[in-house]
Amino acid sequence: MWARTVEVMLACWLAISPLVFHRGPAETLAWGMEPVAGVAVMVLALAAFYRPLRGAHLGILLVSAWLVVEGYRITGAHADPREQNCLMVGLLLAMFAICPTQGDEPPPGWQAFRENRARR
Amino acid sequence: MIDDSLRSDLQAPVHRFGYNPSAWSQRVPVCLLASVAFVIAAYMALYQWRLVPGVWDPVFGEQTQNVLDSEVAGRMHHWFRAPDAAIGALAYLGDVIFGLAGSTRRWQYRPWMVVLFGIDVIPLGIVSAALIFMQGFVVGAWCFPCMVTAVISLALVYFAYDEVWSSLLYLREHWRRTGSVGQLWKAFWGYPSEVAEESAQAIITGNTARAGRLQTAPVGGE
Repeated sequence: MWARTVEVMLACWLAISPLVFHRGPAETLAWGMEPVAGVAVMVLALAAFYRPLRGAHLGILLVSAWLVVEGYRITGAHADPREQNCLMVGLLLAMFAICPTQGDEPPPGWQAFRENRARR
Repeated sequence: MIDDSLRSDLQAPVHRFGYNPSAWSQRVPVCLLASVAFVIAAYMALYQWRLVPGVWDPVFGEQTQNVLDSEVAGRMHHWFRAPDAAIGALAYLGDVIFGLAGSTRRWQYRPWMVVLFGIDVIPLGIVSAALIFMQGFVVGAWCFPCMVTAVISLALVYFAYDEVWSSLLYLREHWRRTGSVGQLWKAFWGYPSEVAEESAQAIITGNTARAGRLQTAPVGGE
């Protein structure tokens, strides 16, 4: 659960980060990337709380890959803060995204296996 | 809902170590140590981002800033597109995240998580510690906060190896019993089966199979 909570917080940070890093009107297109990624992360993290969609958080890996690749591609030798932010948040999200939602419990498959075994 | 028998099995000690390497008492110290290293590395990253004016070093003084501003650090900044201390901070944070995720029997139920944790802690820790201890010869200056993080990296290796070793023993036992790459792959990703449970019991009791002896043992379904 905690991994999803942190993802939601990082999604909020992504959504507001263009304001933090002062995007000017000339960079309107670039404005879109972080908020879109933020919304996608939030949707996927919240969806993972719904049991039938509990694997939805793995979709965040795609978003984080997008952030990292874009951050790395756009950034030149002198990285600006916005691109570094994409890179760092992307890597951070990837680490959280692979954590299972009910991470401190045995996986559902093993729980069902043990229950079936106990019944036999 | 976890039944009582499963709850007690979650605390079962591994025969080789005499304790459960995935217990919270084993993992929390790793997370605390990694958190300290994260704070130190993040502090140095703040300097490299010029968000703080200098780095406090009680032993080598200005040399720490020379290390962080060195050509080697600049080259790493160019490769990673971010300060090397920030990448290091992320790696230590990864140790914390992967250390906290998983049940107290994750060496069996989520070997992939333990192996990932091991990759983050053991080879990366040894390499980063080696690089830090070499910096005096390469850069010509020493950095006390870097040395503290290097010592923590080595301590993390010591604290984390037992869990990684247990997972590898479990996977080896599973391989000996099935001889199947597919079954090993499933065990690695935490899919349940009778033979996986038997392999784990063998690791707990110490009654492991000798290589090849149980190749023909039936493979349990999921």
